[in-house]
Amino acid sequence: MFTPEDFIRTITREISKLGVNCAVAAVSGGVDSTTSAMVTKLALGDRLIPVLFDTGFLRLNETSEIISSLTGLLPIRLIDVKDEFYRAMINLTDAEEKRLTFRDVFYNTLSRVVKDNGCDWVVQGTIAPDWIETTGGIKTQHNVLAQLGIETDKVYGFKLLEPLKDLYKDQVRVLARYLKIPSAITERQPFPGPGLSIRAVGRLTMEKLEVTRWSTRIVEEELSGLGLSQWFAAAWEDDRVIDEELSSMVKEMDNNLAVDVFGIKGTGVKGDSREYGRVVLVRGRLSNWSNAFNLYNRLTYGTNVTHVIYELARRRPSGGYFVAIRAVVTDDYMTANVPMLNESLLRSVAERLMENELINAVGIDVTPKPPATIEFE
Amino acid sequence: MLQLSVKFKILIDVISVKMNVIGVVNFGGQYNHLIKRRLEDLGFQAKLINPNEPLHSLSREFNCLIISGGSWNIPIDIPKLGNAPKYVLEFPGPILGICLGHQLIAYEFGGMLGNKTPEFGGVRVRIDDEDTILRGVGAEFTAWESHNVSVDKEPDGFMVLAHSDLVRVQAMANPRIGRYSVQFHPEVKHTEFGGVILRNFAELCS
Repeated sequence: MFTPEDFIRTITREISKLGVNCAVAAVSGGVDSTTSAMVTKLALGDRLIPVLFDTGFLRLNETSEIISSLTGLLPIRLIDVKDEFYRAMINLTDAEEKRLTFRDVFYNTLSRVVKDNGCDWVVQGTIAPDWIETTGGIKTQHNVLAQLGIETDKVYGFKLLEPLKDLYKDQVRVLARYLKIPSAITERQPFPGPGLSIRAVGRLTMEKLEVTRWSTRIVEEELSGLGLSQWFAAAWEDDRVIDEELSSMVKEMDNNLAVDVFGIKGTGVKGDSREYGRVVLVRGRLSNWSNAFNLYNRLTYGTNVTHVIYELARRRPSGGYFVAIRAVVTDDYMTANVPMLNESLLRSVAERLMENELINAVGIDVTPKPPATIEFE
Repeated sequence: MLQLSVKFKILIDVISVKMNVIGVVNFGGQYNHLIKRRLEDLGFQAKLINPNEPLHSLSREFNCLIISGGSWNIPIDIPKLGNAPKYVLEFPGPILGICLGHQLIAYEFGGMLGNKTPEFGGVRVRIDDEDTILRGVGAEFTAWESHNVSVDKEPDGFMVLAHSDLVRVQAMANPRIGRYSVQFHPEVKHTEFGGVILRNFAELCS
């Protein structure tokens, strides 16, 4: 059974035996990477150099918030690599292409930092769900290399240390609290490495990225303190076509409902396999609010639908951006439930999002994991 | 004397490890590693096993096995399952099948499978017989599912323990030959009574 005392005793002994000259720790300010850097620092002391990349896909004011919460804990160096990431990723459309390109730029940049500092190791916060999802072919997490058979010393010129690779998020949080890492970090909601680039769903443009960044701030503010595990916004073009077959699948539940299919695709996991399938919008009045949370089992069983969104607000029939609110409850992020949030609360969040002229409509994703994944890409 | 007692203690440790470790056959499914974690949280020991391990070495090392999920479809992908079909038929101790493991047990003992009733996410499971692995779970509960294939008819000699609206065989058992199985995932946090079910099985192993 996992206890922080045993874990730290074992892992620091193992790290001390590796003969590390110096190691660069890739820190994002999240609980996994911060805790892995802290654990490694216990063994390596000053031979650990923690760095934070500003990829351009972080949330509003995120880098300054991270640096201030890590003050006195980790002397972190901020490296601005926005231009490299934008150059490589703007205009990419496919979810896996975005993730693989992000991984490429990330490790090439890291490799340069390792070389510049005369180091030989990289420390990263990979945890069990990262390599399980990547090796299972569900989606490529950017921080999984060794488990895919990629030899980092040959490809990138550094050895890889992943002290938390067999832990789950809830265990990492126990460890982080034990290490007295501030609660702003230990209780922080997960944020993927490729960040907003995979929440600006479909073709990545600067405008869509900024709409996503703005919407994320609002959703995070409005839905905080509700006991959610992860809550955010995603945005894509509000281009849809009605689907009669899918509409007929929900009409027996509520005669007013219609189902549209968006032009973008979303990632799901069905029967342990990846599905990069349709994202659908259910429109119309519900006789009972709880019905919204049962739409997924009508629309995702036996179809290639991965995300079901229920519409909350709309300006014009089409044009502009659609923003999806995502809010889930989970401990270990292997499965996730969509809690029945209050309807008037969600409608008021939608109204606030609609203050942005670029946003044409807003909905709530009502799909658990499985069959969806928590993120859209 | 001191040396003798140390030796004796080591011998006891070796025996107790053998007695308590549960082998978890790893098909690379999403929750295989999580089963090991849950069993450890419950105070049992578990080890992930490659399905190409020969049966005789598993029989020596473990008292019981869990055969879990993966992205394969039964029966067409059976050639990809290594020795797992052989474990199902010949492993001497109890086996718990989960998801794909449930379908494999049903198929190997002559049950019928179908692919018309997939289920994903939360599903209500209703108990038909609160026996063996389902002892202490009440009349119904929410379980987490992720399957395209399902068991339409249980093999002869198996009793159906639970069903859902769409799937008639959510759980089944044949205690006489030590085979137990569930379509849903007791190892994931969102399945109510998942820990009770894993414990019920793990206690059959000692």
